[in-house]
Amino acid sequence: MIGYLCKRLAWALVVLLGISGIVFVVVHLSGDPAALYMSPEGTKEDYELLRSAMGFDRPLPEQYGLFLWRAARGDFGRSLRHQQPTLPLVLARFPATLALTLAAMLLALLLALPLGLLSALRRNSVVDTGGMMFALAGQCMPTFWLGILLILVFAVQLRWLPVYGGDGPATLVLPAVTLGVWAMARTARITRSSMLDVLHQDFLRTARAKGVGEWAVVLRHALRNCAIPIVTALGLELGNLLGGAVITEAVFAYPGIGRLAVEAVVNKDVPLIQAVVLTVASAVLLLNILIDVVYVLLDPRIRLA
Amino acid sequence: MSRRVRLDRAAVVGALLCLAHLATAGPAHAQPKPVVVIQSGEAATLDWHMHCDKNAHEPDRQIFDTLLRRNIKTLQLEGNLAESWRTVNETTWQFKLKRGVKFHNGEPFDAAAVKFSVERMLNPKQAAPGRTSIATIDHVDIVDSYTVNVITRAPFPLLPIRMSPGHCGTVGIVPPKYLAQVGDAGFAVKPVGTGPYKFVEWVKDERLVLEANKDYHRGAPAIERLVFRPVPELTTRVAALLSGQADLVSDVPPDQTGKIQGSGTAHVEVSTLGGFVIMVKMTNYLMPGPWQDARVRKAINYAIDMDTIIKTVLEGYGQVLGVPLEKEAFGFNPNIKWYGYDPERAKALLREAGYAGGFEMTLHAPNRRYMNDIEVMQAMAQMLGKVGIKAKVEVWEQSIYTTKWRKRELLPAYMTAWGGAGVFDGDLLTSSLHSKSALAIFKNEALDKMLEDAQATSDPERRKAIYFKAQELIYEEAPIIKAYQQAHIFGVSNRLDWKPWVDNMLFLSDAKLK
Amino acid sequence: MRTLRASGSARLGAAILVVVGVCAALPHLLAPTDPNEQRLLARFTPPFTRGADGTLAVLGTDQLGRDILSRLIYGARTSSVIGFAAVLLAGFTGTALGLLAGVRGGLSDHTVMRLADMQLAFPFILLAITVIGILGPSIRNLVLVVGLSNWAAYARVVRAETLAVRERPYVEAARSLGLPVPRIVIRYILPNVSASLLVVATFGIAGAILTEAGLSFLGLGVPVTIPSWGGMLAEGRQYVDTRYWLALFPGAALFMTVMAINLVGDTLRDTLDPYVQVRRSLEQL
Repeated sequence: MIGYLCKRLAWALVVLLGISGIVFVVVHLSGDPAALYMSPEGTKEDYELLRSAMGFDRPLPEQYGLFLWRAARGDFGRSLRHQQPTLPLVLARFPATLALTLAAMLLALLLALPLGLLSALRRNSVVDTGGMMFALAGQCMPTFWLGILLILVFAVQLRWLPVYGGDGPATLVLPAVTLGVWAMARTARITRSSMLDVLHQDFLRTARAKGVGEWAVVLRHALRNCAIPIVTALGLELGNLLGGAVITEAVFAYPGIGRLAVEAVVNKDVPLIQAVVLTVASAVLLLNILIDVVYVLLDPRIRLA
Repeated sequence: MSRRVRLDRAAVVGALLCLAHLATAGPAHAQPKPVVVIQSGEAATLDWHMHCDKNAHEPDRQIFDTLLRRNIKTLQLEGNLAESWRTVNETTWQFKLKRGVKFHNGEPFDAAAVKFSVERMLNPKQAAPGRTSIATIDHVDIVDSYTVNVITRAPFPLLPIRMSPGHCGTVGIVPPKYLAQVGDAGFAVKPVGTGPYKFVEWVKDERLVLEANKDYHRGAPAIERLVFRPVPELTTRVAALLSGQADLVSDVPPDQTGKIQGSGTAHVEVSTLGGFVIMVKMTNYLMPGPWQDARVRKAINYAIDMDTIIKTVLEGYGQVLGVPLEKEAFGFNPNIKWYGYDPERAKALLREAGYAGGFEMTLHAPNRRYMNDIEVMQAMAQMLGKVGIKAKVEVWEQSIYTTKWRKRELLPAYMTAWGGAGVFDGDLLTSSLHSKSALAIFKNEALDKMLEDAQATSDPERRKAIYFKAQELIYEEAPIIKAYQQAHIFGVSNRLDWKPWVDNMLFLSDAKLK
Repeated sequence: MRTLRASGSARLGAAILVVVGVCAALPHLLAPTDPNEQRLLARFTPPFTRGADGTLAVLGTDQLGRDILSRLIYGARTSSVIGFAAVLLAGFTGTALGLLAGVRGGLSDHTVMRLADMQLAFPFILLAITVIGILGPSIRNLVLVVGLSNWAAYARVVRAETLAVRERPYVEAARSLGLPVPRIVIRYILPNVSASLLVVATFGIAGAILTEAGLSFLGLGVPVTIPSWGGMLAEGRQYVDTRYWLALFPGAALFMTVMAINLVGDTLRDTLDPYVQVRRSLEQL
């Protein structure tokens, strides 16, 4: 296990290196950002001054090397826009997005598992069709659209919930619902199909023959076996969720990392972009490793590659 | 691991994280409900000298003061931190400062603070974005504790304007001792000024809290607490206003005004003063093409029905100017009647210039920088199409737009704006049309010379005359398509009594709750 | 095919897609007016009413007086083009890389898998903003961005299948007979993979269409001169409670099309290989 973990972590580092390189090249290809930080009346010499103050007049490989050297010591540069060290900025916002993502996933699980289960058990009935239609609907709407509609209904018309923000549990509800609907829909459908696959298998027939009650069969045996596809799906969702969080955070003015990312790119805040991308990528990679480890715990038949 | 355990564990972790996050969020509604101002984005830094950002400027205006400011009724400059000012000679301005003013931390305001503030902005190492606007200043001499002489390298008639609040390029007064203590980085997140509101706290991307400065030299403001919150999404901003979660929203699009007025929770305040002057600039030398011929540019002007565009796309919240200068500006020439809407004349001019068959051109538009900018450009393109000019509209995202305009790649025509910063001076023409200015894509040597002369002249009558002639030349050369000025629309909650200022940014010291 | 015809919802889905397809193929025959023609005096005409200048707008007009029905019909073409093109790009790239990984194994395999990890860990939005920023907003760049951000799913499917098939006796036999690798790929791997790929592709189209809507919301979608459902929805969102028709119709179009794709995709998946989900996830390890 330890050997496996070390290998995975080492590869994750390689991936992160690759990502940072790509980001670096792509952002610098579009010209340096000094232009954005100047007054419209600024002259060419002001521009040159600013450029060298920001370090953009050095050749690209040198800039990248400098970045890597500093990053290895934990210094991810200063944000051009905020004039503060970037890593603390990013880490300060990360819990908010994490809270949002977890809330969304929790919501998704709480709704999807029962829905999928019920649909599988009552296959082809009204419950099944209705449930799956509902789930399907959740996958067919653009995230921002759903968010805006929810705001209109629940915040403006009904005044049950606040429109925006990141302070207080009430502000988490609408964004989590918006973000979680997609995950809920996918998970519900995957739960259903996995359950269907598993429900007919031999060991269940054995259990039923032994006289174990229907629900016990379902909960204890069937679910454990279809946990893997569900966990896989959730794992894949994580990437989607962190991405969808960008749009959700924009709609609800939720102070998370998604908004920071968009703002950083829009303002060509190169050090901040690097920091955000690497943090998010690290999180996704680590979580994927975690999920793979969870596989093993769930099913001892699986060997780690 | 059974499902139930997994679920429980996930729930517990989730709940703990949520709680941890919320615990750090802090109480936002402990005191009487503060006035919430919604902005479209967040300030990067609150250091007055170090940004060109409207979202930073709005809170900064409450925190800092300038030596002078405009009177909202007369539009004339009047003293603020300075009691009076005069020119000693062509290159020396003397300011007499108000006594008994203190910074929020108790540090006294005096001549040393003024000298420090001006010279900090001038210092090339500081890399203040607005440095160029005051570069004609050489240094500041302290005459006594409450008198300063500002020495300029050449006559600088715009100096008083630069000492009043505006966008970047104006001098806000900062406390020298405090800055020395906390450094630039500390000052950017915990600013101290002499203004009507004191800095309390800033949680990035969430809220910026200010509280009233009871010792403000113009009298304590009526509102106890201000909170600035960034909300990037337009529909969310309006929703916040309607649901009562926000008290003030700027840059409301014209088609939302009806909804706000009829809501019962909020109303609309409109200001036509100090709005952005918006123009589509054309080039005559950076890109070869039909637009190099003045007749073609005139034809383009004749082809556009700006009145209809303002009436429909802007729903009447604007006015056609023609010349890219505000009506209230010093030096505005009221005798010039810009080209009207005459498509037949346009076609005739095109034929005369040899383009009877029309031609193609690209119009570059920013992405939601100005009111309904994309729609205005699209409407213009359609009208050009009717006289045979196939115009294509290219929309660029904000930061890309800025980069491209600086590199002068937005050719042959692009939309930009000027003013809106309470400048009210013919110098606006220099910023927009002088060929050496950062945004210009048009070159006319006679015009350049006129604008340079005006900048170097201290005699107001002479300046006015020069600007009058400059506008006549601009009319002849038609380097722009029909400038227009957009109004500023604010959404204000019904519990707030607030009126707009002379430009498109907020002053909240005079606001009060109903 | 039998299952497809049997399922009512799939039939509905297929019918919707046929309508969308016809709109995409022949918009100039179906649309009442030019989708970009502005009639400023007739802005915001509600559906089924006559505009200020007398013309009837079946689904109303937008903020520039453009006919919404026409834009809706032309928008079908935009969505279709983006969906198909992005999926083709992703599919080809993914298949090629997956084959490389599965056939060659070793370093190639590792490299491709790390590239896939990179693609999955990379925040998509960042790539979208920067690429569309450098190259400018256009359908081509949109397709590039969406296509190159989604190939990993195809690569994984193809790689898994390739690894499984490699060991099979008939492949061993073919290799020993001297059959060149490309032939083996074409004869044994691709046919087995095509079903799964088709399923992934179908859902990929739905995803691409929704992604375009999301990017339009951020202002990075299709250029303004090209009507697109995502763009219409993004533009119309501020009028949702006053002039609902600007956003309602493109929203409904998006919703129904994506739902239809999902319904058809579901049926395809169930028909072609009901165990593909489980098998695929097991073999990812």
